[in-house]
Amino acid sequence: LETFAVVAVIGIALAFDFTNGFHDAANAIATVVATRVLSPRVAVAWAAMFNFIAFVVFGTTVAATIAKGVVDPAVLSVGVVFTGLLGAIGWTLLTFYLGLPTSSSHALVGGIAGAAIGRAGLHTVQRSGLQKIGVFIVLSPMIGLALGLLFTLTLMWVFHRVRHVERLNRGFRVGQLLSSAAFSLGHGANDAQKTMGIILALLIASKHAAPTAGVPLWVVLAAHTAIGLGTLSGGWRIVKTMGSKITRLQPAGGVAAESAAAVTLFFTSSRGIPVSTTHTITGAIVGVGSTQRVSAVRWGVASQVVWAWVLTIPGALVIAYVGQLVLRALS
Amino acid sequence: VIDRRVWIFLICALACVALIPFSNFDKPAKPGEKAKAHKSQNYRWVPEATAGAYLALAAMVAADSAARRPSSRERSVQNRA
Repeated sequence: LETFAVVAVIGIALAFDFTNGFHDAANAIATVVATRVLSPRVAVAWAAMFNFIAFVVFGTTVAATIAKGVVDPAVLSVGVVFTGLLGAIGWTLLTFYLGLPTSSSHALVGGIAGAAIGRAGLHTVQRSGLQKIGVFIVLSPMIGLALGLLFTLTLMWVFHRVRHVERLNRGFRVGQLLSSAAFSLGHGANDAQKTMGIILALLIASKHAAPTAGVPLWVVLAAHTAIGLGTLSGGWRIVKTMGSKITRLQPAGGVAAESAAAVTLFFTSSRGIPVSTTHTITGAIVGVGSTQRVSAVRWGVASQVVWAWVLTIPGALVIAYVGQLVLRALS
Repeated sequence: VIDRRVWIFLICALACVALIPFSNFDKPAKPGEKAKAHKSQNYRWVPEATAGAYLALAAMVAADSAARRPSSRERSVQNRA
């Protein structure tokens, strides 16, 4: 029965990863599609490929943070991981229904913390791990914004004397291929690793892996396949909204925004820090837009990110906590 | 009138400064251990550098908007015209 439960929870975790790819693909390819560098179908295939190969470039430090850095691994059980996922998925669905902004990454962290508190109390939470995640929830979009702005200013400064604008735009269109690939690589590295961390926690809890074990290769491949397939299977439907949601981007702006977000994600992924890829690219796009004037940016979208900072972790934590209490009462 | 972006960048810089005291982390505890001080991971330089970047951006935008503003002589010429 326990093996069945483990397989079922792994299935739920991979489904969560699939929906992450489905939603966040738009972030990686929105500007490439909006500027007509690639058709939507080719763009999602491009993003999915780089999502998948991210595991070759980056290690699994983010997965280790999720599995061992949020709560004391000794309290993890199949029930804790299940209710943690339930909290994350429940919060995502609730905010989708209410139209509130959210981040599935933060929801996952809140869910795991809530489930562990429900099982064994507040002392099970690793304060330092949560603090690191909390600080970078705020910092990652702000780094993205500053880098987006600085990259745009640098491009403007380097190319401001160029008279052949058409030829220059053609160059930036090629540049967008590279920058969107870099962003997809960062997205695959950070987001797929969150699911890997959940599955690793589950394997440790069910004694299928030692507490000191790294992420098994099949988990790495399964998580990257799930996020890649999610990207491939329909993210392009919401691309158009994302491409012009925050500010109107030209090819040069697209290159700057994606490069800024990619640099931020490369840094955080290599240091084992889970961050929201959506918030990071939103910050970078706001940075690019704010080189023009204040009114070029839809600040309402930016303020939604701030609400997501405040609400997501506590919201998912409460749902997972209640779920864990119900599970304990039933068993 | 100061460009509104200057205020936005200054608020971002302040937010980064507020994060500096919280940017020293302990490495995750090993399985079964209580979460207490292990090897420290110092990330203070990240909010410090980001705050510095925002201050520089605020100064650049302020200087740019001051340079674009017509001087008092230009304004009086415009008024007379």
